[in-house]
Amino acid sequence: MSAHPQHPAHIIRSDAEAIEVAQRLAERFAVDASARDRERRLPLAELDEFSASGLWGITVPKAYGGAEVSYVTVAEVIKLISAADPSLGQIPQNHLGVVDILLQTATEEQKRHYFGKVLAGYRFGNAFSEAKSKNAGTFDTQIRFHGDTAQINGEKFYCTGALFAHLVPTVGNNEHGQAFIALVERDAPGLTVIDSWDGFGQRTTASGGVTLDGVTVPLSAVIPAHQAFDQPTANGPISQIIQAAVDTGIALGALEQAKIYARQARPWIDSQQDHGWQDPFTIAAIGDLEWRVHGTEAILAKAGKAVDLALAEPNEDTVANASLIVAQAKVLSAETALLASSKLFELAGTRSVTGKHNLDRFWRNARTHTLHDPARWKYHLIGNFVLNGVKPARHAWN
Amino acid sequence: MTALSLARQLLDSTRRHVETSDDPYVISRFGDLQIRVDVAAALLERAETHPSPVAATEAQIAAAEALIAASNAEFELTGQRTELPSSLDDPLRWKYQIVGNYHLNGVL
Repeated sequence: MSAHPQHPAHIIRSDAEAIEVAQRLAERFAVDASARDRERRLPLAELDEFSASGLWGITVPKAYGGAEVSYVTVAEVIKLISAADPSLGQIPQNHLGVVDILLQTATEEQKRHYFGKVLAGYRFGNAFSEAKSKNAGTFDTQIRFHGDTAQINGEKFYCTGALFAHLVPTVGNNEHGQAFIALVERDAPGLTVIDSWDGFGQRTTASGGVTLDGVTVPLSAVIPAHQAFDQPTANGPISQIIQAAVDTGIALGALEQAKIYARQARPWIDSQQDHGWQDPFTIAAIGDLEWRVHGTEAILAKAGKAVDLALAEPNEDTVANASLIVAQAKVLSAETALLASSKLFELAGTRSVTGKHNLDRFWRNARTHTLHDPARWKYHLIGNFVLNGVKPARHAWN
Repeated sequence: MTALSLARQLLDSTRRHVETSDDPYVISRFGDLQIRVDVAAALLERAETHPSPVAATEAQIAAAEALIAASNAEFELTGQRTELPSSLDDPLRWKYQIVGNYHLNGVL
């Protein structure tokens, strides 16, 4: 992977164009999604097409030449792509988060530079999480500043997108425990991306490891990421709404397959019907899935509006409100994705588990992706505000 | 009173009864109820403009489920139970059939 895109990207001009482009791409990505999953074929050509379409640049502010689409649109785009192939839907997750952290914490000159790159088709990966640190919010990776350079040393995991990126944003803590992000060139000496992801779901995200061995960057490539959470900003809700949009897409994809295969199922012997689709319990079960999926989509759109408000008027209240509604979308999308991808088999019957259909990819993807952060603590987050008036903690998972 | 406004009322009266709590299970229970109420409200709003002929029925299911959950939580957390209106003339169980038959079979 070189540090530069092969071709310049198209520039999307509006929300409507973004949705239209996403619909067109989703149709194409759906065709080989199952084969890519089965063979764990990394989607490099698809990613090139995805970022060249301009969809990776839609959140760049208008002042810097982007479309600055609403987060209702961002969620819709990620949902559409994820319904076709949730690995492709997940890969830009951190890229979009980084575009916002740049907006929140970069200097004017850095914004001009990096937003220009994003519009030209550069992809950000990520080297944020660490498998060995105490919890998800702690980092053992160090960044140390020497004159006009910074040096990073550490070991990362769950680095979705890093393998396919042109720039790898890397989180490291300074001596005072403050988090900075260095935008490291993909071919920088000392940066090694390891294709070690062998999860049973989201198989083609290449969410493997990154090691940083004395990687040196100029100060102009470093942003004070901690400021995105020291002050109330929309960054946490933005990270989370993309997660919820991926899972909503998985739910939609699974429900579509559930209907196709349930209609082909044999009638159960006791139903005294001629066709599987006449089974009264199958019909009611589909009814239950439908309202849940539509409820999830409706809350996801509300979450997008709350994120837009938190971006336009960032303060304690708007950011808390965005976290609360995004948390609802997170809970609902996680549950609906798991439910739909499991009910699919129940309604379609034993023939649906045959290997050639590869229908288990929906459940494998749902179960894997929803582990990013636990829905059980989102119930607590929402209840703690309802009951005790406590606003959500600000971090990248709220 | 609609099922949704009754669910909201039960959630609110239960919340006032409990006042505050640091019990993680009680806290998360309120999170669950709030989500159920908000989904029902969002589906009701969706039904106002959505072309699907069963959009309103989907919103009714969400509201009915929110109400049942709120009523159970009220009983569990306060020991009291507000009487609910009978739904015998408009049974919830057939609403899933209506929604499912439309989406699975295109039948209204």
